[in-house]
Amino acid sequence: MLSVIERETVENHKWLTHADMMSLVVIAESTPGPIAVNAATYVGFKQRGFWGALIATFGLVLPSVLIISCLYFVIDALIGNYWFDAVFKGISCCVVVLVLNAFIKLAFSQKQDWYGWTAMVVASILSLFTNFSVVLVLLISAVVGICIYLVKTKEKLPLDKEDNQ
Amino acid sequence: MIFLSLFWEFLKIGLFTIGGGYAMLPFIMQVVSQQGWMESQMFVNFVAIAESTPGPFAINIATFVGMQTGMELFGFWGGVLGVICAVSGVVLPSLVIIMAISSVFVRFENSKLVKGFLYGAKPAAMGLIFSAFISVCLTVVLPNVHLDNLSNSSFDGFSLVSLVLVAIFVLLSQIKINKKKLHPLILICISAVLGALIFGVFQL
Repeated sequence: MLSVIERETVENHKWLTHADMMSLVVIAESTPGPIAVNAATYVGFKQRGFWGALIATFGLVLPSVLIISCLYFVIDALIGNYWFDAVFKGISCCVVVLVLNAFIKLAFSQKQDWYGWTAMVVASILSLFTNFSVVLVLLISAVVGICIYLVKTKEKLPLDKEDNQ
Repeated sequence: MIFLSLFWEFLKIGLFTIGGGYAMLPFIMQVVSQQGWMESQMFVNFVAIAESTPGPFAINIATFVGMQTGMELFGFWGGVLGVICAVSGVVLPSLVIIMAISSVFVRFENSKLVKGFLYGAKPAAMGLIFSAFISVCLTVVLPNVHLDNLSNSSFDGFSLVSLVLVAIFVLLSQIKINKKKLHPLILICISAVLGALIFGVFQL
């Protein structure tokens, strides 16, 4: 997705410079929300402000909405059909693996310390075995993360100064 | 009011999805099962379709859930309104946050608060995706199991064939041809054919 955005915005339309593209990737990936939507909003806003952002996002969303809405009717008509159900029973098994791979890709894409592993295990246990809200799980972990991070960076500061001297 | 809650739930999903499309899964699964919007088997089908159609995964899923919920209660126009509510809900946080960041020109990526937030939120998001994997796996292999309410009859629906298929796809998804892993779409196509053969022709 991001490589298509780069080709269109940087090379074809010259809307963005390569430096803009770099900060787009950082911002799109580290802010909440779907990455593609973040990127579209960013490009639209850089070009034409508020309305640009709105229209770029609308343009991104429209094909998905139309395609899926049409597919919905096809699926609705086919559900309960013997062959349709058989095919989707097979596909369900594949979905399990797709979700597993999404997890593996995320989990091994970055180093994790003791807090990362603990938060990961606790979050998955809470959401599997209790009705605890997943939004709350994420928020609590984020707040604890901010506290640990601030303490850690404070501890490191004196060390950095010694290094400089 | 169903449309307000569609908008509100997807607003929360848009706000807390960190790390791309699949990070939405645990949030949507919890909402969908708590509100009774659809059965988990139906949801698993939707995930496959959202993955195999063009467009961002998150938008595809939002469209599906909006359509399904609205249609069920108010027919076609209910479906349209459901889609509008769900999609605008999931998109709105991105719009607001990105515009805010781009207009204040803060050195956003160097902010300690943001770094700390990601430091805490990312592992939790991973844990939630892992639990989504377990839930989807249970839906397919042991459809009667609910982890928060286990009983003896929970294990009745065990499907060995599905378990074997899952194992096969784990292996297939790791195979590399020309140093590239198989595209998810190819995996889905293979699974569709296998499904038709195994569950349709041989009726296992």
